Amino acid sequence: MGRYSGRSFRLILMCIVSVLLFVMELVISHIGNSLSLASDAFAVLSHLVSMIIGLFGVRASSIKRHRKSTFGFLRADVVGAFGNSIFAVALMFSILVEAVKRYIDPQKTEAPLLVLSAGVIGLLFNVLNYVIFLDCCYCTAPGPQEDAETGDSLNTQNEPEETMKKEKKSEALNIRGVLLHVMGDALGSVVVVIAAIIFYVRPLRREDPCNWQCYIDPSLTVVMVIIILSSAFPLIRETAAILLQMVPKGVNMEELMSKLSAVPGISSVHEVHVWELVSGKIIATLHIKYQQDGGDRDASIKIREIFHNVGIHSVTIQFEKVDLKEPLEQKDLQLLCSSPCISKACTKLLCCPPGALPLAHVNGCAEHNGCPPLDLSQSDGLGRRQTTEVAIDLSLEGCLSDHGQALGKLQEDSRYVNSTHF
Amino acid sequence: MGRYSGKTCRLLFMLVLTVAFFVAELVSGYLGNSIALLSDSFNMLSDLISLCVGLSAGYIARRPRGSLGATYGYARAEVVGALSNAVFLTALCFTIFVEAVLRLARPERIDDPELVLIVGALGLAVNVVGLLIFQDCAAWLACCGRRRRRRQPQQLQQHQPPAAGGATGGAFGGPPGPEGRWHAATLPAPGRDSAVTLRVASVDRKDEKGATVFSNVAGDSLNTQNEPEETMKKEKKSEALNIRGVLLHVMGDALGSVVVVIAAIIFYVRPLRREDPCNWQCYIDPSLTVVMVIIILSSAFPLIRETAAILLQMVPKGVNMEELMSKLSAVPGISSVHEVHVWELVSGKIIATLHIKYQQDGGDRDASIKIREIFHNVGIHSVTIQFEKVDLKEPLEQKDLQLLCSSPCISKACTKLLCCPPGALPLAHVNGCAEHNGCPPLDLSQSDGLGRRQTTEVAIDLSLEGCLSDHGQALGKLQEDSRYVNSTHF
Repeated sequence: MGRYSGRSFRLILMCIVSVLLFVMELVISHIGNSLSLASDAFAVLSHLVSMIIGLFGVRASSIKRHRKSTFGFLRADVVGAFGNSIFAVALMFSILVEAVKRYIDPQKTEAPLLVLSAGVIGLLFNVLNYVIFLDCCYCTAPGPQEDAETGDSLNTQNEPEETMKKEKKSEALNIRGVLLHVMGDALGSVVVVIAAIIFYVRPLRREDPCNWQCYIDPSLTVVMVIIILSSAFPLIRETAAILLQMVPKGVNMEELMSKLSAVPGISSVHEVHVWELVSGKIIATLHIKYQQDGGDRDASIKIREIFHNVGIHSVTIQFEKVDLKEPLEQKDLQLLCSSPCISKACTKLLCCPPGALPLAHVNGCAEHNGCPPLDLSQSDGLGRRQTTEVAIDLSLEGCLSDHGQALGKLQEDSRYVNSTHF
Repeated sequence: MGRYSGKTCRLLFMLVLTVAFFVAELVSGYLGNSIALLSDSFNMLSDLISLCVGLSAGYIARRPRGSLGATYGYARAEVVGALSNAVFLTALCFTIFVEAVLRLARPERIDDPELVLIVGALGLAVNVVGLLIFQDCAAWLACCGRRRRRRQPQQLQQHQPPAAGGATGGAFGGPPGPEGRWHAATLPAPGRDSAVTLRVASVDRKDEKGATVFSNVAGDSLNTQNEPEETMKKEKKSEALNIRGVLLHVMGDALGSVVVVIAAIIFYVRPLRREDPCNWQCYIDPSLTVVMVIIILSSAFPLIRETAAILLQMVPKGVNMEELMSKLSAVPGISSVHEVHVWELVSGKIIATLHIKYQQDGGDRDASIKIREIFHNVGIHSVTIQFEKVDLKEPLEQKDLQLLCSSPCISKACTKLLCCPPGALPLAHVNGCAEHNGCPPLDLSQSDGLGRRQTTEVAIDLSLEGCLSDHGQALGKLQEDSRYVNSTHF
C-alpha cells in the first residue's frame, strides 16, 4: 500500500525481537533443562502470533468491501483472535504434559545462572513490549463524522455524546485488559527467575538425587499455565459466540419479538435472525406479513426504531402482503413464509428449514379496519424438531379486545417467541 | 436426542478405543516405570481431545433450532470445531518440530528399543484401525447402515398424507440427517450410490405431488425435480469438515507411530552400546519427524483456509458475484440494486440479503419471483429482499439519492455503527429499459475512485440514454463495469 506508519514499524520491530527472544529462551531452556523457561518461551511465541495476527487483522479489517467478501474482512480480527487463543491453549497443553512428566520423573535445572539471566531478559522484554504497545495503539480517536442526507430519519441530538462515552468506556476496558495481560506475562518471567534463583542459591550436584527443589519448576509452570489459560478461555468464548452467529449478549430476543408484534399494521413476524458481524455491529433480517397497502411504509419506520433502540442498526426487512380474501381454514398458511425459495425441493437447502413450529405474533388489534381476529397462537412441543404437522390452537378474540391483555398473554408465551421458520 | 448418525457411531467407537489404549499405556508405563510409554500415552491424549472436540461440535450442531440464543441454530459449530482441531494440530506439530530441531542439535539415542518398538507398533495399529473406520468399510457400517435404512422409508411414508403446511417441509426436514449420512456411507460404492439416490428421488417426487397443492397457495414456487441428489452431496460436505479435522489428528498420530517404529527397528537391529557416541542412527528419528510435520501441516492448512473462508463471511466459491449482479440488474421492473450480501452459513447453505429499488406499484411481486429464480440457479435458497419504492416525482438533481438506501437506520448518528457504512461510492445497476411505461432515463452510472473509503459526496456521471436503447448494449456496458459490481453501501 505504500503507507509506512511509525506504528507498523514498531510492531514489526517487536515481532523480530520476539522471534529472537523465543529462540534464545528455547535454546537456553534445553541447555539448562528448565521447564518454566520453555513455557515462557512458548508464551512469547503465542504473543508473537497474536501480534502478527493483529497486524494483518487491522489491515484486513480496514477493507470494508472486497470482490470475494461482501462484508469486507471485518471478521478477520475475530477469526484471528479465536485461532490465536486455540494456538495458545494447545501450547499450554503440551507444556502441561511436560510438567506432569516432570512430576513423575523429576529433573534438575542445570546452569542456573544462564537460566536466571534468560528469565530477567524475558521480564524486561515483556515490560518493553507493552510499553511500546500501549504507546502506539492508543492515539486520539477521530471525531464524529458527518452524515449524508438519505431516506427516512429522525434527528436525535443526544446520540453523538452517547457514542463518545461508549467509546471512552470501551477504551478504558481495553487498557485494563491489556494491563492485566501484561501482569500475567510478567508473572511468567518472575516464575522463571524464582526457580533459577533457588537452584543458584542451593545448587544440586549431579550425583545428588532430586529433592524438593526439583518440584518447584513444574509447580510454578503449572501456575503459569493456569494464568495464561484463564485469559485465553474468555476470549475463546467471546469469539466463538460471534463465529457461531449467536444472538449477541445485549439483545433480548423475547423482548424484541414482543415489541415487534406490537407494531400496528402488521399481522405476523417470522424468520427473525439477529447476529453479530463484529463486536458492536449487529445485523438483523426479518420477514413481516402485512395486509393493507401502504402499511409497510409506516411499519418499516417503527420497526427500525425498535431495532435502533436495541442497538441494531443494519436491518433488512422483507414485507409479504397477505391476501385478505383467503379462507379461514388456511389461517395457518399465514404463518408460513410467502416467499421461500422457488422450488419445494430447496427446503433442505434453506438455512432454516420450516421444521420448528412457527408462532405468529399478531398485533392485538390496534387497527380497527379489517383486522381479522387472528390473535395469539400457541404451539406445542416447541424446541423439539417436529417436522410433522403444525398444531396451532387459534384463539380467536374479538377485534376490540384489550391491547393490554394481549400484551400480557404475549409475555406469558415469551418462551416461544422466536419464530424462525422459513 | 435419539438421532443416531453413522459418523457419530464411528467417532464414538474411536473414542472408546483411544481411551482404552490411553489407560492401558498409562497403567503399564506407571507399573513398568517407563517414560517412553508415559510420553506415548500423552500423545494419545491429544487424539482424545480432538475426538472430543469433533464429537461435541457435531452434537451441538445437531441441536434443534428454536432456542433463543442463536437464531440460525448452532450449525456453525462444526465449522468452528474443525478450525479448532486444525489449529490445535498445527500447534502440536510446532512443538514436535521444535523438539526435533533440538534433537538434531543434541542427538539422543533410544535406550530401550524393544519396548519402544512394541509400544509404537500398538499405537500404529490403533491409529490404522481408526483410519480404516472412517474409510467406510462396509462390514463395520452394516450395523449402523441397516438400522438407518429400515428407519428411513418409514419416516418418509409418515409424511405422505399430510394436509397441513408443516408436513411438506417436514418430509424434507426429516431426512436431511439420514440421507446425508447414508450417502456418506455409500460413497465408495457407486453402484449402490445411484440406487440410493433413485429411491430417495422417487420418494421425493411423490412428496412433491402432494406438495403442489400447497405450493400454489403458500406463495411463489416452481417445481424442479432434480434437486434431491445435489442436496445430499452438499450435506455430506458440511459434515466432512468436522470429520476431516479429527482425521488429521489420527493421521498425524499414525505417522508419528510409523516414525517411532522405524527408528526403534533401526536401533534394535544395529544396537548402540552406551559408550558409543551417537552416529547417523541418532539422526533418523528427528529428520523423519521433520518430514512428518511437513506432511501433516500441508494437509492442515487447506482445512484452515476452508473453514476460515466460511467464518470470515466470504462469498462461497461457487458463486460469481459479478455475474450475479449483472443478472440481477437485468430483471425488469427494478431500478437499482444495492447492499447485496452473500455468505455461507455452513457448506451448502448460502444466505443472501439485498435491497431493491423499484418504481411501479406491484412491480415488487414479479421482481421477487424472478430474483429468487436467479438466486436459486446459483444455489442460494435463503434470500431476504427489501424492496424500496422510489418516488417518481423527485427532481432530477436528487437522482443520486436514488442510489442510496431509502431506509438506513433511523438516525444519522448510527452511520458509524452500520455493518457497511455508506463509504464506498455506490453503483446503480439499472434495468436498461425493458419497461416501456414511465421508465425514467436512468441508466448506467459510473463512479470514480471506487475502493477508497470516501465518505463525502457521491460523484456520479449520469449518462442519460433514451428509453428505447438497446438492451444488449446496456448489458455490454454492465459487463465492462463488472469490476465495480458489488455495491454494498447501506
